[in-house]
Amino acid sequence: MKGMVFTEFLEMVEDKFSADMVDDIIADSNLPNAGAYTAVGTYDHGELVQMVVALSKRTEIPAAALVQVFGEHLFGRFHVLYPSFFTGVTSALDFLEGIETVIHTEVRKLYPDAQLPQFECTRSQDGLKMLYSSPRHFGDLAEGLIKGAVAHFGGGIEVTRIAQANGDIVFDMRTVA
Amino acid sequence: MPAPEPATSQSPDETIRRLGIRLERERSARKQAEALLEQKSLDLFRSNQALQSTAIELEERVVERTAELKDAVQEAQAANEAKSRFLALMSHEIRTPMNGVLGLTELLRNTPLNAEQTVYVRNILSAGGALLALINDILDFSKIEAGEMTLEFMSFDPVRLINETVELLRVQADAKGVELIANSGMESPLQLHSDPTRLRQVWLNLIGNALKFTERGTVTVSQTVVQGRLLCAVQDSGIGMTEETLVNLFQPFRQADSSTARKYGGTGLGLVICKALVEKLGGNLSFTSTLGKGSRFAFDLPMSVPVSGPVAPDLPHARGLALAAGIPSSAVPSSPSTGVADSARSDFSHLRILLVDDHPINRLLARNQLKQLGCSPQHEAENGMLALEFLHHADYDIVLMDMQMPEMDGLEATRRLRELPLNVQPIVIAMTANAFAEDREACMAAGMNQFLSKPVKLETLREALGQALAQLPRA
Repeated sequence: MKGMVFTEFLEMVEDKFSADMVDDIIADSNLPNAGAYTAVGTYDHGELVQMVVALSKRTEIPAAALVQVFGEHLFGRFHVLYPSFFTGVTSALDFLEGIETVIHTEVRKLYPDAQLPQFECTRSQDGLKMLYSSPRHFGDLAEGLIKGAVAHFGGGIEVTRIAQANGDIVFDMRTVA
Repeated sequence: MPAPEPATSQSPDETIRRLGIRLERERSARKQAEALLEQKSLDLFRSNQALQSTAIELEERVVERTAELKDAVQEAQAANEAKSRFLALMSHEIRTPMNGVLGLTELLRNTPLNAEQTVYVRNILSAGGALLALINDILDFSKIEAGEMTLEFMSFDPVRLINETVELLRVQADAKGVELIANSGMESPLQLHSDPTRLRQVWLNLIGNALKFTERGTVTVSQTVVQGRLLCAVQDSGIGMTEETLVNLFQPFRQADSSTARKYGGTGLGLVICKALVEKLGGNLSFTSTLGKGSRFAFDLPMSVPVSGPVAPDLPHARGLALAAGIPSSAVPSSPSTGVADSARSDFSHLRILLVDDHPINRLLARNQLKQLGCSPQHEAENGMLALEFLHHADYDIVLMDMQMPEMDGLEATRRLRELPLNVQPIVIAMTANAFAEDREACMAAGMNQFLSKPVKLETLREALGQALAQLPRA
């Protein structure tokens, strides 16, 4: 998993809780590199899971909720860090539909060996269906990112999450009149 | 990194420990980032180098390929030129012995022969004529291929030309029992500005083809003027052609099928040449055909405005073309030009003739032809150099000059003799196997007076001598 997800996570923890909390969950998780992450590195996604679990224990907030909130936060950071992906895009559905075709294409140019989640998109007149499949099963993170996108573009879209038998997830988005 | 929150009840030691850990964590992250940066920089450097070498390699390959292509084009051009040269050379080389064969056979025909021998001689002449036609076709084709076909435009009467051409072929039509009709919707005389020799060649070929492929019925030849263009057509009631055959019609060396070649003969070059000639003359050759019903070939030519150009002499090539078309010479009507006919009856006995040719058979032939015309060469030279020797020591009225000879060729010899302070400047008649229009021009430019293309027929030589006689100052 890209390092920026880790650095953004730790910054969020420090921001929302405290610097000590960062120290504590790093210490709890017994990480190989003692929690030293850089945005340009690549790390095992299991380390993030361990830190989320540690945070959940210390804050008594369910891990799923924490990950979702992190997703929403991460989307805001994407907008700050990579504004070029947002130029000319005016709707959440357009942006989400372009993740696979536009954003992931660009990511692969920089990181040919990156393991990216897949979003299979089906556009309808009043909405968009995204089939999420990833070996990491970060459905909560995906949901948070989607909700972050919806909020960024001014809301007005209802997101329904439908779990699939094989572990994939369908996000059904509909414009609310 | 923000300072630890003061609210937590941490001992100063604990705070220092935590700060130490954070410092270590940040330092470790920085080192990771630096290592990654270095790795990425190295990767970038290597990629750039690879890109550069690829670019250089590509450029080298482009240069290499371009050079290869240029070589290939040059090779192809050289091969094509070599082919054209070879064809022209071979044609010339074949025409030279053919001159001997046809000329001597003609002489033989005028000796006492029994019936069987007469048939043999006639067949030799006919086969020889066919062979010569073939060589002429190949010569024309090689010229067209090389884009070197030159035309001689002049004003002439197309009605007269077609009538004369049809008369040439009437014997052939009569022999087959095919009716040959010439329809001309025009009041003679009419002036056409074109190349009469080439137009006659097209007519001979198209009508000859029509006769060849028609066993019974009619061949109709017609020409009319529509909107300033001469529309010409040859319609036959012959075997016709399949669509498949029509596709290959203008491909060189292709005939309807190999059985056609066996049955009817020919090279398959005739129509290719016709089409090219018509196009060079500013027209277009088209055709329609139905299998078993017959074919129609049509072409059009611009009439052009006859600017006061040269007017065609009477049938200059009729005999040569008759021979080329495989027609026995007896079928060729005698020249309508009475002037030539008159001089042809003249007495050549007093003519002082120098015969220049490196080929002994050619000299034998010319000697015998002259003998039949009632004269003989005073001297014979094997090349231009020896000819000049003779000219230094004696006066001649006529020099019969071959073109290609060792030591000194006919052109050079003529140029030199024109410079000599001779008592009498002789009339120089080129007798050469070179048949191109440029050869004729080269001869005239060198100072020759007449141009005879070998094989030279007796009648042609008679006419040439007659003309020369008329030009000579009377002593």
